[in-house]
Amino acid sequence: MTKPLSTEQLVIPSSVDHIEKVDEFVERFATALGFDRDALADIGICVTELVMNAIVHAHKEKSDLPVQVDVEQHDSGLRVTVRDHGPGFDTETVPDPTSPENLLDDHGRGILIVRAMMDDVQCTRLDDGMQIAFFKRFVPK
Amino acid sequence: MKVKTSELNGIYVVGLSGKIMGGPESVQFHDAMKQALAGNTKRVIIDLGEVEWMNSSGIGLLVSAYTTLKNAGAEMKLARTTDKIQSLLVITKLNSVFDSHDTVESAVKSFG
Ligand SMILES: Nc1ncnc2c1ncn2[C@@H]1O[C@H](COP(=O)(O)OP(=O)(O)OP(=O)(O)O)[C@@H](O)[C@H]1O
Ligand SMILES: [Mg+2]
Repeated sequence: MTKPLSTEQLVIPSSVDHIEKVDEFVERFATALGFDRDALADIGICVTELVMNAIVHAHKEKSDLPVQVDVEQHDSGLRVTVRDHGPGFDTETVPDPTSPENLLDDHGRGILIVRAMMDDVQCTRLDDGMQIAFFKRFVPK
Repeated sequence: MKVKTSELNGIYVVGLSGKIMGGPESVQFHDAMKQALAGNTKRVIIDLGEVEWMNSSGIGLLVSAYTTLKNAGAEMKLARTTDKIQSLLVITKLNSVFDSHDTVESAVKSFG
């Protein structure tokens, strides 16, 4: 990926009380880039999905552990990266939430939704955590 | 998310609004469901018309309400499902599980 045109970063403690702040931060940045209402909804859904996972699964809601959200403006769209400091996980082997035995589970759909809604999802397992990035392309008017 | 409950011809209607993203306010939805069960309600409509969007936390709330109600012998219908939520139901294959209606009135009529 080429160098971004502009970047911003938000760091929050691992508490669900901060999830709205993440949405507001990314929505403000994406709105300035000209995304329409529909795309803004997709972006909000996906970033809150990944940050919830970082808070709940990676950090077990230990609020002193930071979750980092980076947004980047590119020629062709917006890139959002969520970084945690948890044990990491294998994104290829998460159970399929659409299979009959999992269909009525309360949880397990976040990663599927991000993959379905975003143009490119990159999951990287680091030495000290997980980094998941997605890209939302501009739709030519 | 905001949660508003009302009653319509003996049907318990739960109106949701705003963004449903898994913040602390999810408790309000669970409380509304507990209230429905405590009142021995057999028919519940979840009105989604004012929901801006929801992530998997919102979908999880709907599934948990559906199964809890079903286990209690009650029925749940969705009303005014937005295009955004409908596309999430298709992605998650829950469109085959939930009974969705364009209006609250048609959801009301659909109860046998
Ligand atoms: N950042 C993370 N660190 C560690 N494990 C994770 C992380 N994100 C996801 N996981 C693991 O992957 C699983 C699937 O995540 P996914 O978001 O799809 O579902 P969920 O969070 O369990 O439920 P839902 O998002 O539907 O409420 C999680 O249950 C968890 O085990
Ligand atoms: Mg999740």
